[in-house]
Amino acid sequence: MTAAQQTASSRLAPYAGRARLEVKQFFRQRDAVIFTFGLPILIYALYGVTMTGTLTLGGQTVDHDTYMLPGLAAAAILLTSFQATTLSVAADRATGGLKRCQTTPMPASAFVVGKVALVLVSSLAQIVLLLLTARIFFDVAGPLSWGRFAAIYFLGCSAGTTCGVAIGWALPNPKGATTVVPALTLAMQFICGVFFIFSALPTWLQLFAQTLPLTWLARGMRAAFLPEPLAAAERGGSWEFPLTMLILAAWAVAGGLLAMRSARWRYV
Amino acid sequence: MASKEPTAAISMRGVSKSYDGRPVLHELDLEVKRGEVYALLGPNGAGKTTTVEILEGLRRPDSGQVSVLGDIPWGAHASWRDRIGVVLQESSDASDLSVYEAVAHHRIYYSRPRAVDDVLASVGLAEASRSRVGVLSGGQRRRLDVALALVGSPDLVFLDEPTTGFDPAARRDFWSLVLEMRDQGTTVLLTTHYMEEAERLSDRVGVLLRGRLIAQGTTHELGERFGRESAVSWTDGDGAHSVRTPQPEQLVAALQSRGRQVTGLTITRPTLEDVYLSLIETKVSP
Repeated sequence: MTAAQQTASSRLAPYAGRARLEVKQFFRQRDAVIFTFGLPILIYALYGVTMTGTLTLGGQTVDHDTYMLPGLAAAAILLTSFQATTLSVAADRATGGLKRCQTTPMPASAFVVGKVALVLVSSLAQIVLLLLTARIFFDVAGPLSWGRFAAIYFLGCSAGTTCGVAIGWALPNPKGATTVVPALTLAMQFICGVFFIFSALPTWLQLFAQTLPLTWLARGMRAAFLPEPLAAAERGGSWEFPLTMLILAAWAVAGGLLAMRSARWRYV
Repeated sequence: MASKEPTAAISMRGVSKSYDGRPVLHELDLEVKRGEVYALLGPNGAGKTTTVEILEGLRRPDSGQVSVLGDIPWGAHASWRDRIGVVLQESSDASDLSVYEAVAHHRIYYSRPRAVDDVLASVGLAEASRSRVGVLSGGQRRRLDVALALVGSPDLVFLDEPTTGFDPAARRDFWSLVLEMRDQGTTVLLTTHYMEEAERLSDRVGVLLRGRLIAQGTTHELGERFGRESAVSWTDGDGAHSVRTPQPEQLVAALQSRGRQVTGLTITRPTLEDVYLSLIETKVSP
């Protein structure tokens, strides 16, 4: 059978098959479902139950659970894009799954499509569940600006996925990824304004945290979810939304370039 | 298509490869004919897996010429990989899928896929088709790897230490599977540490040591060339004896001419294991 004789559906089969496989495997792993998919929702629910009071920021009063929602939306994107991709690529290397793919006629692009599908399906399902949890149980509304939300969601997922592929492929010991990577993402959530109010952190820590994309992801989410006057509590007294988008886009591109450098489909 | 392809399924000429300056293969020449089962033997670190991974297209040699099914493996087109089947030395992927799902998934990549149930039956996994891959025993897991290698009806199959961890019965089953493949005209390149396996399955054997092929031929040829001594054992009035000699017939004649009572007389021709060990020892000791 030549390429010309192949029907479109058989050419698409490896892509669809790979996408189905990645999603299926992810949702069958109990630790992935709990610690990557469920954790932000669980933590938000715990916040909602325990932190019932209000905050005063930049002269504005806001419910605690309203203020924390954008941070956890950012954490959700971090986990289902960056953490899931890193762990998934590292596991493919550690188990021989990657080599197996390389010895089949599967196109390399189908491997990438599978990872992107995994991120799309799991992050969309997760963000919907998080927003529904906030709305139904804590009466916290979703984003005030869906346009901003969509932009930050897309840029955040892109940056997380490309950086995840780059790091998952470069990790010197892929077998150890399941302990190292979640510890790193947890630490990032502490210092990038997910669990704590970013402007309340020590200045030196804020400066350091700004080198990490999660800080900008969380900030972009605050700009999408929170009313305009709360921008007064941010660095420079404004959301700096265009700068935030630019920085996330730069991370997505840098991650993509790094991934293309490290992720050689075949060994040399 | 057929006219383009040489009679050899695999041909390596002067292939060298080093990792970080540490040489692994030196000017290796290797040829495997179509329809042949070829066993590559050698101690750990001899370069067997590197050789196999170069032939599978997973690694690129530093120098030398390689042709597998008429193509250069690294950078070959998907239609080339459509014709090979690979059992890697170690795999633990797909652990969250069922056995059936894993085979059904791999089927979609190939132009000549076999039916999932047929493949599972041929490797003896029909009963386990609904089991999670992660809970399979070592031997079952290995049989799944073979099923994944066979699902695309390959012309050439690479088996890198396929029976490590098998119990004796599973190993026998596996041998008949490989012999079936050969009967169907499939070329098989096998690496193994089990000399009996190589002896039973292979048409030809190659011994790799420190990245060089130090001996090659049929088991019989290797025995003739490198394993000249047979072991003669017997029991007489002085007790049990075992002697290694290149002329067992003369020794037996001498025993009989002494006129003493001899019981339990056996002559053991050198096994592939004897040949292999003597080859490795000669080459290792200066």
